[in-house]
Amino acid sequence: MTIKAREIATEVMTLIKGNEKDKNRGFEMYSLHYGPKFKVDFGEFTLFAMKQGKLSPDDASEVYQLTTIKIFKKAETLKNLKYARTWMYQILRNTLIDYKKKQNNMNKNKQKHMEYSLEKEKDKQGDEHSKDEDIGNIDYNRKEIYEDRTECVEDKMENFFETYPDHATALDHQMDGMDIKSIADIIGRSAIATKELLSQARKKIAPSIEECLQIGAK
Amino acid sequence: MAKDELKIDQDWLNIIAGNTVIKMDTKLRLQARLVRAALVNRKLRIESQASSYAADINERLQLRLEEEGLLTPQSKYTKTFLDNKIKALVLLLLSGSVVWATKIEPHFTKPMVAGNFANEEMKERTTQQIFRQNFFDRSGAFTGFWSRLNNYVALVPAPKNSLNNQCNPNLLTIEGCSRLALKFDSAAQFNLGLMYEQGINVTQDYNRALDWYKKSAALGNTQAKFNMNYIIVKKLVE
Repeated sequence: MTIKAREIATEVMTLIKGNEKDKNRGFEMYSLHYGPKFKVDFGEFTLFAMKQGKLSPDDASEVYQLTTIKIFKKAETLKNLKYARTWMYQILRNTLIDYKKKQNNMNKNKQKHMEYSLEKEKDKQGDEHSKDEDIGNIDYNRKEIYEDRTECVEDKMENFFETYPDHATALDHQMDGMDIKSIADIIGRSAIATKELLSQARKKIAPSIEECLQIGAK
Repeated sequence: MAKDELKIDQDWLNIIAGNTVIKMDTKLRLQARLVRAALVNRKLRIESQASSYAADINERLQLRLEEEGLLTPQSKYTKTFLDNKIKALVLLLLSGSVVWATKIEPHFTKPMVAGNFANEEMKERTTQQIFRQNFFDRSGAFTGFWSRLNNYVALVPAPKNSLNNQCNPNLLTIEGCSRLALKFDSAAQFNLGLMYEQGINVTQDYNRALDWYKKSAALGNTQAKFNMNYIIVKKLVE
């Protein structure tokens, strides 16, 4: 599986780096292997963006498009075609990070704008106290209450994906039955580092899962 | 200690990958199974979300790349041609066969029914017989409209032995056909042409054949026109 995936990536990048005709063929091959296929499959890159970046299908497809453009633009900078797959995933991860940052900034600005407009409205009404009261009502120390173990574990895993995206992605691909080298290509680390990452993932999840196991025991 | 840790890690990861592990700590096994279940559920949730999303991104992306100058625009015709390779191949075969068909010179080798005999016999035939002779050959195989042109005398019964009835597919004599041909019977003229062309009961003579075909064609016989063209195109006469 590793060899095949690597060979495909190398072939795709060779074509993209070639002449105009080859580029078109390269794009066809690229979209066939990494892009979404109409009503069949959402594609490797788009699913990666959805899984790791917790993006909606729309956002994930935007990330895929941005990644593709970057890959085509920067194709000349790839020197060793042997590492084409790692290189492509590196670009995908960077694009994903940039996109998330942009999204967060946009959300922050939206929030600020909302708060500002709310304050303005409240100033108009002359209701100064209600704001403090509202904030006072929020319980920051609220503990999550789960009905069953599965719900608890799923929630903890979501948190894990947010806190340790690399660990979680490695674990996710391990669940798919990928070998260490393939996972290493995707997360952009060496095979040994990936093994270590997976080991750390186990240790990091363990306490959270332990909490969930208490639910059934009670 | 380190070896134990490694084994624990390996076992745990094996369970995550969905493999069976024997002799493993029950608690760890349960933990790994719960994690795997959560990961599988997550994957299924995301994939179901993605599969309901039916947008054709690749085409938009191609346009975007073309706008950025990273891809050369393909003309619409080439694109559809490449997309529908099978359709293109069928089209190519069809056009090829049309060209090939136009290059073929039709040539009729079956004698026609000449004289009163033909008319009388034609009247007697039922609709079913006419349908059969139009679309099927003698062996009963479907031939389409071809049999109409080439085999339409298939079901004609044997003629009576009079001179008037000696110019039909079952019996061709030079006397019978000449007699009718002189009475401006185009079918008989065609038959004479055919006899001279193929050497049936006479010596083969393409010039005479051409003459008779010309006469028959002048009276409006289509088969004679085709055979006349055939002789000229194939350069059988000087």
